[in-house]
Amino acid sequence: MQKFRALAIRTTPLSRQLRFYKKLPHGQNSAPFQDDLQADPKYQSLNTMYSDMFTSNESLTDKNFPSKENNSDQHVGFDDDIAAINQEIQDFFEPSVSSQDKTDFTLLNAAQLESLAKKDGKFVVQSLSNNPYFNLALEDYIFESTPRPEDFSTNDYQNQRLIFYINSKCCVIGKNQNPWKELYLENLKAQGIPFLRRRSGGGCVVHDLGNVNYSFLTSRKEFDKTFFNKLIVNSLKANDKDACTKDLKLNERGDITLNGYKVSGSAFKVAKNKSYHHGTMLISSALPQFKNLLKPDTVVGEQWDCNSVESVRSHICNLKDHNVMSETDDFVQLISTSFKDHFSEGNESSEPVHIFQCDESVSKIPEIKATMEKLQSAEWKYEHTPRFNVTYNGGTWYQVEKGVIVDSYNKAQTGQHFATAAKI
Amino acid sequence: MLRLQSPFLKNTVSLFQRSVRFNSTTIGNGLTKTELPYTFTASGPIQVKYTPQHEWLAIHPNNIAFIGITRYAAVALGDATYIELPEVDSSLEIGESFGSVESVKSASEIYSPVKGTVLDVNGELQDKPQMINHDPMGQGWLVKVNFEELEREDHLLDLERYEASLKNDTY
Repeated sequence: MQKFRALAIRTTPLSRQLRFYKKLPHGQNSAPFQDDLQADPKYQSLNTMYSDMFTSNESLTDKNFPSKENNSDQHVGFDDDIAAINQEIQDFFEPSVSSQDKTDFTLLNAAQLESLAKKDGKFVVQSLSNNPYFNLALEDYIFESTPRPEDFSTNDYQNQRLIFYINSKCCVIGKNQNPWKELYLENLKAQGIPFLRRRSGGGCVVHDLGNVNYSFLTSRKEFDKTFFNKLIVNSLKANDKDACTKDLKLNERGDITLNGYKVSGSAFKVAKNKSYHHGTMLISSALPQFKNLLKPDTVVGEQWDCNSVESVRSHICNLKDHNVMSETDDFVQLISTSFKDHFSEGNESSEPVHIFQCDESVSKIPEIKATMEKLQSAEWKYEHTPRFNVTYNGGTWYQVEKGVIVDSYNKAQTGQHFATAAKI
Repeated sequence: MLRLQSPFLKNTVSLFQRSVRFNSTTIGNGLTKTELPYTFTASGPIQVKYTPQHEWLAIHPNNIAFIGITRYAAVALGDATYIELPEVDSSLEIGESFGSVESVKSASEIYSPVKGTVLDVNGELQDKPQMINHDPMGQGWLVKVNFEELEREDHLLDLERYEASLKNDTY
């Protein structure tokens, strides 16, 4: 499968392309779009704009321009060029109008992503970036931009979306967790591994390039903690020819297990009558390198008194370890197809569901940029931690609220950031 | 490209619908008469309103109100593990999130039906988040506010209309 199309990368400024039209053998008062698009009222203002651009100052009957009659040889080539450029400009403004083959795996630019996310409709987006800050911000942007249901009871919500992303090695904690309690921050720092706080609930996980993150968006009304993982389990089983998934199960916590080992964990967010379920799927992660990053339930020499959300420790394995699947791309394609099939089935009149791709070029959308900054801020990473008390061996102790020491065995440290005092 | 043959269960029952069917949470969204959101004024609040996003608002004299989440929402969310509350003195804006309830790995935002200032928060929820499951309409109140402005009248429901909207929420 073709990984991506470089369609949206424009090396020629639009203004230069538009100038090109002046040399075309068109009727003197018609803009090139009108033939194709005038039937559709949603293009009318666009057409008018282009009409004005082409006809306002200069006359197209300039004697230097060849006329249609005496340039019949060039005519065909020109029309092909016009058609190609029209198509590209049309794609720029209206990314999902092309046929399915053309649109699937289209690399979206910022304008296309914005238009797609804010309009009604279902789609799949695969991020090509491995930057965890970008990917979490992209997911948040699509979630926030998705039109919300008119009211809670609406039964025919049509804006289900599915996002896939793969992060370079990092640890991700739940919204209401304590990074000092959950992570060996000094080990992360020594290995140059970042940690992120996500906006959904739940516990702490390690990501690397062998792990696929999926995120299923729907309405709050349709929110179901098991729906999407059932879809994943059933898809993997249907795709399995060698009975490798015989013991692939969904457990009571919503985790997917394979032969008793966890391969997938989930977390959820509900806001503005919308919801998402996102999860991890271990395909081919370097599991031995996950060691000494997440703390166990209890660490000798540390006593914690806090009400932050606890991680549930599980033994994990890869899908690859049991010959279920070895490529992250295969998982993305399998589950994309399942999503498409599920939401197209029995609804012949509906728009086809397309798969788009995104890279960090869309991070210039101001909301994505702002979210990336927020995710990297000390305020969100550290100060969002629920208040806690910790006592270390040897009797040093701290009482911490919003990341700041409010009391300590050493009164001089009061008012300092715990991150500074603990040197992590 | 890998292909599949409809491997899905088509008739999934959502969390919210399940709670409607089996827990009768479409009733019991009245305020608990023995707890602060009711007893703050001896004769009880002037009125109690509900949002379509499952918050309740108990309005007392002098622009004082209490805000919480409904029993329906609390049952649907399941056991709360953490309640995120705003700071005392912080400002609330109509329709903006002022806190969240985390339950079984799900973080749910709570939206303000008023513009105003937070006078007090229910600090007990920090240590006992499950209180929001036991008595969401009383003991489990979230914030006490001094409001300047209420959500538009047509966006606030009375108990009867709120519960009727929940009863419609079935297939």
